Amino acid sequence: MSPFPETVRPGASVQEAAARMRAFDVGFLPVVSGEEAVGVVTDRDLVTRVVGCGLDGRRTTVADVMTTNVICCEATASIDTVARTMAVLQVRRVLVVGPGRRFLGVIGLADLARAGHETLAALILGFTSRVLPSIPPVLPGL
Amino acid sequence: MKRKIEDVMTRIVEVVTPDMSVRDVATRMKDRNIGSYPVCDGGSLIGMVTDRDLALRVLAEGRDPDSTPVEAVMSTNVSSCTPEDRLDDVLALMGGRQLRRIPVVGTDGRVVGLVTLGKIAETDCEASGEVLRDVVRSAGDDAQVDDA
Repeated sequence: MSPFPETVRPGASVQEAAARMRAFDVGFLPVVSGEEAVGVVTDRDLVTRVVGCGLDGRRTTVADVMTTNVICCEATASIDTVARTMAVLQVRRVLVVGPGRRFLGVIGLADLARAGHETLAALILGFTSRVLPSIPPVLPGL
Repeated sequence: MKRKIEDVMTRIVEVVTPDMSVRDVATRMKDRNIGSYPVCDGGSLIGMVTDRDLALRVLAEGRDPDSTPVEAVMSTNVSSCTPEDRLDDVLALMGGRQLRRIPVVGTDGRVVGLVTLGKIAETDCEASGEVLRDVVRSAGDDAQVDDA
């Protein structure tokens, strides 16, 4: 996983969130309130849910547009579990949390690819690119 | 059998024009669930605009999406390929330049499709896995890969 990734507060403006994405060269920010993971937001979310809905990025907060149905795992979860979760739930990143949803880090496709599971990462990428989810019988590279 | 781009490309029916407002393009990206559009002037490709471009170059800078035209924030100097190009060659281009989406241009100069790493991964995770690894190694940016 990527420990200590950049995050954003729920009360931050959308403009501020976009500026952080640019400054840190990321397209995704966990939304953390205190220590608790309360949501996630992507660059695409900001564009489609703010600009694409006629809203003003300076007056809209991250909490207004973030995704609150967050997929999380524990730090002890196996790569197999995380990979299957990504494939089945059609997500490319999973938040790593402790008790009380205390935010610890993020594991994404890039982390899998970097750890030597690039074929597995691409397999999940293929699954998450499709409209309908399906579960692979055997995951390669494990 | 060596696969060609025409076997894996998404056939595009829609492009945007350089004078369209950022607001209109963002609305279209939302309504049609599309992340990037070729920008065409008089039929020929002059740039690409992605949802990320709009986030970083409009929202982050506090620009007005209603009065900002797409041409002010699009990426120019775009790499393209043709339907007859070999998939292997285009994958090498994607890995070398850390690209995830490349427009496909026909012999008359018009955009006829789009090649995306995500689409290729649906059928060939070995090849796209190698590209993913290259992108990670050279760029090291989670967002660029996770959003492929």
